[in-house]
Amino acid sequence: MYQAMGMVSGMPPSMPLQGRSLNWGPMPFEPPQVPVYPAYTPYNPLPNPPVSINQAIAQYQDLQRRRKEIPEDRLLDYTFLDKILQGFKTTFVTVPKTVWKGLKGEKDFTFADAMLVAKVPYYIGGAVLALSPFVGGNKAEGVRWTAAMLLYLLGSSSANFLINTAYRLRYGVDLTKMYRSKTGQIEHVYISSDFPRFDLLGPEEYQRLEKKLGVPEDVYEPDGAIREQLRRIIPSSRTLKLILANLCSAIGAGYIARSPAWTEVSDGLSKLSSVWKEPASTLSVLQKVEATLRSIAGAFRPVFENRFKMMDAEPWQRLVVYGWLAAIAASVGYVFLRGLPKKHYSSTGVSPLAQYALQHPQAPFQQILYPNLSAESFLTRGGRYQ
Amino acid sequence: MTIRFNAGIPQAPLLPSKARLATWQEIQAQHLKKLPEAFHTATSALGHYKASDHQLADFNDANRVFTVATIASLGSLDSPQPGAPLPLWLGAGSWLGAMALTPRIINGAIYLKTGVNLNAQYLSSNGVIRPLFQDPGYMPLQVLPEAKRQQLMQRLGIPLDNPDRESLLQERLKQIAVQAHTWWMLMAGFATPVFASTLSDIIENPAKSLYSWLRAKTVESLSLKPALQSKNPQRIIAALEKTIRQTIGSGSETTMLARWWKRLPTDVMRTLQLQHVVDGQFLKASEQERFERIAQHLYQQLHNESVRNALVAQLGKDEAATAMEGPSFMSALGRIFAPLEKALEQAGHLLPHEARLKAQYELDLQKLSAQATLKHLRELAELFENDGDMAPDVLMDRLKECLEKPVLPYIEQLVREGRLTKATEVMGSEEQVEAVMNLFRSGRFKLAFLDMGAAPKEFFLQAMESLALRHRWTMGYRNLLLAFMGISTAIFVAFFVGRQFKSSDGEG
Repeated sequence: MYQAMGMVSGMPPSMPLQGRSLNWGPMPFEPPQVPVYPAYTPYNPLPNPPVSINQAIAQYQDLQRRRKEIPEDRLLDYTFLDKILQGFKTTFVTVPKTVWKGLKGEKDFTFADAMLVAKVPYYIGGAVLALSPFVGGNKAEGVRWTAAMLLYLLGSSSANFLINTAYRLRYGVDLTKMYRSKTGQIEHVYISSDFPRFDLLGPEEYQRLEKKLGVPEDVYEPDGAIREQLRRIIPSSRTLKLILANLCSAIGAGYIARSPAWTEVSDGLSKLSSVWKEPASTLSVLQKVEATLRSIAGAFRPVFENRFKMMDAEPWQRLVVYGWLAAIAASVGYVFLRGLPKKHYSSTGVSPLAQYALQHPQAPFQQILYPNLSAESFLTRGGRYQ
Repeated sequence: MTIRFNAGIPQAPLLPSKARLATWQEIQAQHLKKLPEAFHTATSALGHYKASDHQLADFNDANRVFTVATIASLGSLDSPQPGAPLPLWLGAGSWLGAMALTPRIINGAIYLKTGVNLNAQYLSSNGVIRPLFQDPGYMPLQVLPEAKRQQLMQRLGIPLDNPDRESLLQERLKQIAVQAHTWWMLMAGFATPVFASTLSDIIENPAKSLYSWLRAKTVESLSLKPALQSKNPQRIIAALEKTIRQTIGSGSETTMLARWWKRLPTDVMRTLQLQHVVDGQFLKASEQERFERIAQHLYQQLHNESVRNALVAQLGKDEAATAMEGPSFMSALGRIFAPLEKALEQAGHLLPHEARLKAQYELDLQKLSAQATLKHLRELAELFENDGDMAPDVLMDRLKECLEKPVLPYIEQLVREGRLTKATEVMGSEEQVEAVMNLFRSGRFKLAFLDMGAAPKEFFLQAMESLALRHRWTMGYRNLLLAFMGISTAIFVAFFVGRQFKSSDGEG
């Protein structure tokens, strides 16, 4: 790259680079602007529930206006309910819109849009698989296929939840943290291993992670040390999630859903109607709810007893169940015992590069790397961005 | 070097890149590398905390295959009989095959219309093979040869004198790639189950034959030959028992007969046009109503001489099929072990030829039962051939009588429970019951079986219920979905792919 730039500024390529780093002349391109101060403003687009229709309209208009005003990517501080509502919105609004955009082949269709459209086969395929036995008139098989589909999804989501929780407890990293891009897409901060959005994290987030990740305060550039650890967490946590989610999905769809007891579930659930058809005098609402929960649990109990009661299970069943539990335990154990390498930080507050620079003041690469700083300012700057 | 323009501005010359289109062999070799690469990604990410996004995406793909394989393995563990997991694994393979087939079909249609090969993959300077049109934001079109680019421009109608030809081509190809990808994602949910079931149906019988043959060969080479070489009598006996059990159980005539039994209802029903009786109301009707419908339909059909002839011809073929001689494996086995039989006899074990005879006898019983069923069916045709001019009521009664011939398991159960009166009622005459009982008492099961196949009534009812329950989805809705996907894909590709739409912002 430097050679190419030398050619642009008209120097013969045979001349040595040393000592000429400040005489390059105009730069052929603008260097990428890395934001030093992150745009960290918590923003919740879901306001308080309106009390009147006028207030609702005003809130909606305000929301639209604020959305248009947002110039940059923002972190979202969504609650659990917000996340669920966001999921519904993604499924029923954003995905159809993106599909329509993709069918027209519009110019602004990005790779993130393609990833969003890749969710569609799961929705349609799941519905086709679950409904086709019902359409064919085979109710028992339909119940089983539906159970297989739901257990597949449940397996992957619960594995993701488990690993996310483990990392949050151990290292304080919220791997589900999301941001809203300026184009309006909701994406995860820690989704990419190559381009993580550390620029969105605020100073308080760095302060919190510093303690949890065990980075000393007086180390040179603690934010860089934190980012280094986060760069390790992202690929390992994603790999762990992929492995465990696929295993749990396979157990759900291939083991639990194959229980012969699924045929009895609809009979068990049919008792529900009798609970609610009883005259109101005999049972209170609370008792009805209790009876409902009881009969739901009773309907599903045979399935799980058939699969997880190890007293009179066959050897292969024990192998599967204990192997699965061992895999879960191993994953959680990995996070807590070997989630990150142990680092020995030097607490001098001076970077190794700066130490070298102080010892060799005539070295040319200082000026290449830090043309605006004197060697002494490494010490005064103190590592953290002011 | 030609100067490249982007929006009228001359661009800096590109450094020569080592990237090029990947050859077929390189792409196939890449498939072989996927498993070790996935393993490497897992160890690198969990052990050294390093993995790129591309590596993780590939790892996800490999992991999905692993999930399908795990589901099939768990199903295999769940079914105790040998050979039962085979359909599961065929289904798993078909599922993965269907996933790979869907984009090929869509891309093929788009290639026919626009000349763009969306399946193209390129070998990057890092030596990694990627689909050329996977990421709409990054399509390195310079890997396409200059002539190919010119050809695409001509095909897509980009004018020769346009200075932005390259960027226009990029835009058009991006639009086509995005449209194809979106359409694939829309179709995949329908196409994968439908193609998977179609592929399974196609490969099921050949795969089963192959499996039986491989099993026989494996047992022979892994179990029999080492046992013979070891000269250990106990081991030889164990190997012989295993060989006989496995080869007879899954390999030869029994399998062929089982396959024939599976095929027979479909063939007979097709000859008699019985599939038209199965409609949406069939499963809701009672058994008596279903029987009435079948009788009515047969009454109309069998008056037609061509249908009768077709039925007789079909039954003749089936009789030949049930009387077939199996493969010569058993005789070959006999020849191999003839010298050993004497030693085994002296040791007091069940001789191989005795075991073979026992299996052969069981097979004969099954064959006879099958032939009796065919005999019952033939009587139907003969009834209308000889007495077709009888009064309609009488003929109908005779038809029903013919359809309700005794069914073997039912009679056997009645006799075992001691309900001889009921058995007599069902079979029609006391002499016949007595004759069958005598045959059972004297151990001559063969002759008893000769009289008692599956009754046509049970045969048809079961076959049609199975058709209504299991095959309705595969036969009716599958074709419907296939037609829907084919027609909609054709319309989309013909009228929408590559078309210039007005965007909502009014930018054109």
